[in-house]
Amino acid sequence: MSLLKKYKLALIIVCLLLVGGFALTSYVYQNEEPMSEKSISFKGNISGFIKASLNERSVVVLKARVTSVRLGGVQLERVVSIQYNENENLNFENINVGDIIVIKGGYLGYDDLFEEYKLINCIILKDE
Amino acid sequence: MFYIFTLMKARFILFFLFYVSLISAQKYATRSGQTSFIGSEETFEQIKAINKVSTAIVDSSNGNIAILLFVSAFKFEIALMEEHFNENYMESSKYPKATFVGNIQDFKYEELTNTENNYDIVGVLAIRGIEKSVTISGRMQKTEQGISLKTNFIILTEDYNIKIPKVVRNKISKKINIKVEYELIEKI
Repeated sequence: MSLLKKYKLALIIVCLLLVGGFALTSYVYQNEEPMSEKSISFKGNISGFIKASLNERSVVVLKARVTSVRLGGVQLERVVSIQYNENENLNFENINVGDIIVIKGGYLGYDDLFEEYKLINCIILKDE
Repeated sequence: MFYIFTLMKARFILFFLFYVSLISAQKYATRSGQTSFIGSEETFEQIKAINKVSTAIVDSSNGNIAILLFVSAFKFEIALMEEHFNENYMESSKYPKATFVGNIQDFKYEELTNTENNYDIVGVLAIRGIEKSVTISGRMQKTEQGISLKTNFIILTEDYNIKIPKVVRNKISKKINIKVEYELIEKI
């Protein structure tokens, strides 16, 4: 009976260690939330975006005209440079200068060298 | 407080003047430069990250160079590591940008070839609002689209007041290895 109690206690400790280890590993290795699921801090057009006081890493949704297209990203209305999300985005191939697009991305800040605002990890949304 | 404000203003004017001088000259630029670092000792999970949206402009007439990167654009393999990097070590909401302004010594665009040449790049590296004069050894070559710039160098965490808690002191190196790979194209 006493031996059974000892085994029971050891079993409980092992189980607790396993659960704890699993919880810790899950916490450390948790995946970043996909851009498509992140909550939005700002939604609107470029002029509203420029006026808004946004914190870095804020998630924004912008509707704007494409003013240049380059490898890995586009420029919107000459003042916002966006870089595509490498994992989620699939629809940037057919974007041309003059198109009006709706994108969702992470705000980085104002780039003094290129005099433009920067967004990264952008995905394209269907026009709403 | 007034002194800090004046200092910040002076730095901004210096950066602005440097930038204006670049506008009027022939220049090569990138918006998607890759800056990466390894900041760990031999640990189970290596502390490394890459920033693929570094911007840089080189004035080909005199070798002046300016680099700007957003600290929060560094991507880690582990999301939690990225969070700690931004919030605890780099305080990226307070110091969102790192910059380098300098000159590529003895740079002559006409002398660039398709093979790498070594150059000393002298300038001021600003991280977390702290400016340090540095000399970096860089490798440059002509490419089909413009200029390739590569360099590896080391910075010390203590130079930029990056505080490492005792708990992880044996995991995070005091010397951070930085690798830069920029493909600059002619800016019209």
